Amino acid sequence: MDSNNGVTIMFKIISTVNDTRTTETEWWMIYDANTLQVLVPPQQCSGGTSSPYTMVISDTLEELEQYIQQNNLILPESN
Amino acid sequence: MLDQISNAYIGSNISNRLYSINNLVWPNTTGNLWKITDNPFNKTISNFNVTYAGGQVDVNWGKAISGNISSATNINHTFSGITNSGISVLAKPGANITAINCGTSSPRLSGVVSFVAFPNLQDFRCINNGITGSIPPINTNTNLINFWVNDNNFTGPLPILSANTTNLRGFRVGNNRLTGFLPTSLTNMIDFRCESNFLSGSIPNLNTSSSLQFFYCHNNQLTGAIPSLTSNTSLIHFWCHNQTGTNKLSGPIPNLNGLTNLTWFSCSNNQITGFMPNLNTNTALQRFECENNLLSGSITLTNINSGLQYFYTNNNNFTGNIPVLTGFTGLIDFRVNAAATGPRLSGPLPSLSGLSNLQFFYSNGNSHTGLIPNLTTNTSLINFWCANNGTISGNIPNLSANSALTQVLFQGNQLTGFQGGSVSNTLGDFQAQNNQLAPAAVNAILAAFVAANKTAGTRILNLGGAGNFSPTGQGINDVTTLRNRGWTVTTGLL
Repeated sequence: MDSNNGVTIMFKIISTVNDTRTTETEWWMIYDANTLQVLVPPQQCSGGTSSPYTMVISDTLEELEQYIQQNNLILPESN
Repeated sequence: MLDQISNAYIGSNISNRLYSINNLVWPNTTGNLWKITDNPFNKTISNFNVTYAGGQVDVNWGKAISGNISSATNINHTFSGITNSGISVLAKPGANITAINCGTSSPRLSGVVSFVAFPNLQDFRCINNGITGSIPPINTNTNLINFWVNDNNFTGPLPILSANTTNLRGFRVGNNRLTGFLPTSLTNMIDFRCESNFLSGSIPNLNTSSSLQFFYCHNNQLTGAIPSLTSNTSLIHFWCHNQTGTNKLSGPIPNLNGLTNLTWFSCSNNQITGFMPNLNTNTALQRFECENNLLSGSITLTNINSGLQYFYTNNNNFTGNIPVLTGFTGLIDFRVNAAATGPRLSGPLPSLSGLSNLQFFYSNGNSHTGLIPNLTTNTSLINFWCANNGTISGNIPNLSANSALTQVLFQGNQLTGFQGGSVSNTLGDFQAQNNQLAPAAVNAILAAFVAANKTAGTRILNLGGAGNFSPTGQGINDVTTLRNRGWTVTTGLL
């Protein structure tokens, strides 16, 4: 949970990502907490995800974008 | 002090004959003239006079210099350390200097440049020297043929090109900070390059520029239509892409018929409307870029264009099929992604058989049907995208031959199987979510990535989303193995 201008934003931040389940409506991404590099950009994709990195799940893309901004995460270059 | 040196040679080229240097002050000298080019001056030189008989002087002048050169024909100097004084001090009035090449060694020429002292100048090249201020007038230099001052810090408008500069054939001012407009006429011009400035207004009428071969005006703030090019039958490169103002180039792509020498054409990142031009006569075409515009209609390529290497039409409103690419053996990069909204391409993906140079193939977001083509002959392939086409079905192809592959995007289709085979350990981004992959296909893909044993770089494997089955048996263990190797693996839940 985070607060931005009085608006509460809900995140799930998961550091042990082992078959972590997401629904079709949730937005999630994966980033390296050491380098702050976003490894899997924000996306909606249901399934079970396993990763040695950090997963952030939120209800909206905008919330993930705020998380990226607030935590100075580095997005990969798009093609 | 050296009063006179006769018949000295500079550099390894014996044509560089220096006949005399008068009153050369070279304090604390420990070397001799042979070291001028081997070990550039790092001394202060003043009160010198060079009389030069011909050929080309090729001297690195060193740290600081003032004085005169007379009777020289060509100067090919690194004008090091002439900061604030400019280069006009180097020539006596009336000196018959016809060519100046400043070089790019550091420290470089900076400060004010004047061409008044070089009335016979034919060739001026001073590239990447950090020169500031306005480009000085050149319209009294009636003999000027080539004028290259690209990659400096010039500001202000382009110099006036008038009836006095009709000998000018090469004009390169790109990569400065120039403002204002393009010349109204480029008659007799062969090579005109003003890219990467802040120029505005429109591209001039080029009807009288029948000799024009190279025209670069990209990365400016130009507006209006691309002019007719039907008279420019010598044209080789025409680049007008990426106009950065609110308004960009608009109107249609001009008729390119008869431009048989045209090899590069780019108008990407503008507001171009209408259709893709007929390229039936552009037999030399190697690069065609029109992405991020408002073009519609079909993509028109024929086997006349089989010399194409780069073809970008991303983010337009094109419809119809991707043209047949059989025989386009030089093709390196082919990108026809759909825009986020609006019309899109349809029909099957083309056969890519025999395209052994193909490195990038992108057709995301279209409405293709049928199968993913066989990729066994695309041995140079690096990225293959055909995501979110909706109805591509059948198997993920065998990728064993694609040893350079780094990224594959198959997501958002109706793929059910995997043809099998290995994957390269260069492949670190494989996305096939939102398909209909059966358990056996999921397990086989996981096993192929475990076998590839990629343990560094990008490692993303997405087999999740609606429609894909979850792994079973060894496939579950393979997910754990990949995770332990730094992979982010997503699998389906069916």
